[in-house]
Amino acid sequence: MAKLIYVTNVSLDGFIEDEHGRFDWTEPDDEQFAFVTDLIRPIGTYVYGRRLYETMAVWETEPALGAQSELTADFAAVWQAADKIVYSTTMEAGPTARTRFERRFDPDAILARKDAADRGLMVGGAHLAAQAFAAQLVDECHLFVSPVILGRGKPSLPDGQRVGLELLDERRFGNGVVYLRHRIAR
Amino acid sequence: MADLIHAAIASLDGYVADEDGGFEWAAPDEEVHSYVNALERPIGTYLYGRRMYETMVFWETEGDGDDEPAPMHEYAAIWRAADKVVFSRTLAAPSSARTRIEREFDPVAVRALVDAAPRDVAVGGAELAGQALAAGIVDQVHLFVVPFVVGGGTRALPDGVRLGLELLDEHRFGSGVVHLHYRAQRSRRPVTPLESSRQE
Repeated sequence: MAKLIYVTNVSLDGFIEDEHGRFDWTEPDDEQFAFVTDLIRPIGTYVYGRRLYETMAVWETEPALGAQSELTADFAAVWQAADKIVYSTTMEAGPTARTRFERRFDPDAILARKDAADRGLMVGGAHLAAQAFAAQLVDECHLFVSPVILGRGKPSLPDGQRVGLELLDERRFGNGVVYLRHRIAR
Repeated sequence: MADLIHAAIASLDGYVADEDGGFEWAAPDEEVHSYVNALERPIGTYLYGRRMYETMVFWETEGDGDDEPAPMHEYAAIWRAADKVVFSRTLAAPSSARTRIEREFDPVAVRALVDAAPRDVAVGGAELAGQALAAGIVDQVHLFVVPFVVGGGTRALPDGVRLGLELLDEHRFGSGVVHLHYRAQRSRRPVTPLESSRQE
């Protein structure tokens, strides 16, 4: 059975974006950028909400992004090669290949996909991740903790759920970001 | 010049206590406790709110029993040797030695206390530390991140305060706890509560 991992940037006080919806406080350096690319290289399917999908789709729709450097070219190629499932009540088609749109999050469909898939799945976005946590679909949580306190914003981890974890890995990057990888204990 | 330090044990989602006030999931094992002891040994003065003081005053009379592990004995000795200042409008008298009560938390006065101190000062308790962070008078933040999501409760870091940090160190323990050590951006002069509410 394939694993579903949750990967996100987060402030030290646990927010994925500030109260104005901004995430400009997180800027990966080359070292972190390459690490993230390697992290998602084995992933076969990205599971997105509409907003995060639109943020990420530029890696396919704007060739200039990938043309910036070897690092960005590598990331763009990795991103484009994966399948995407996008949950949206308003969007039915998008500008990227390998992309399927669904009206609502269906835990059973994700579970079936985990059962059938030979490559891992990744869920992005706090709202969708909270639903995946509630349905006990998440196997690992990968946080990139930025050296900043935001004070307010959108929490990265689900409210109202107690989840036991096991630390699998941690490392620091030159820009002060700390990577924390946990397995969800069942 | 001494530093003002805030250290806390928090869940991965950033809480020091859960919704029922429980923090049994945060109890340090001997390895973490010994490390915390080494960190706190240089502290000359602890600053507390009343509730945190009432939790910590345990160490004045307990923690050094024959059946308690060595890190607890060490911590009891460290705690008793340090000065304490309790910020409370209601507490009549302290129940530990080396302890005085202040009625108001005045960031300017607290920063002056730190600047004049021969040894570092620690501010404990999420609420009081939040006031100190909001005032921009904290020099260092230590978080011990426990591998657990509690889903709600008392947040380790204050609401409504935005602050840049510089990572100084990180360290992983056998239990899966990760220590994160930061230098905090200081305000050029302490921000009073009135000013910070005007800015919002």
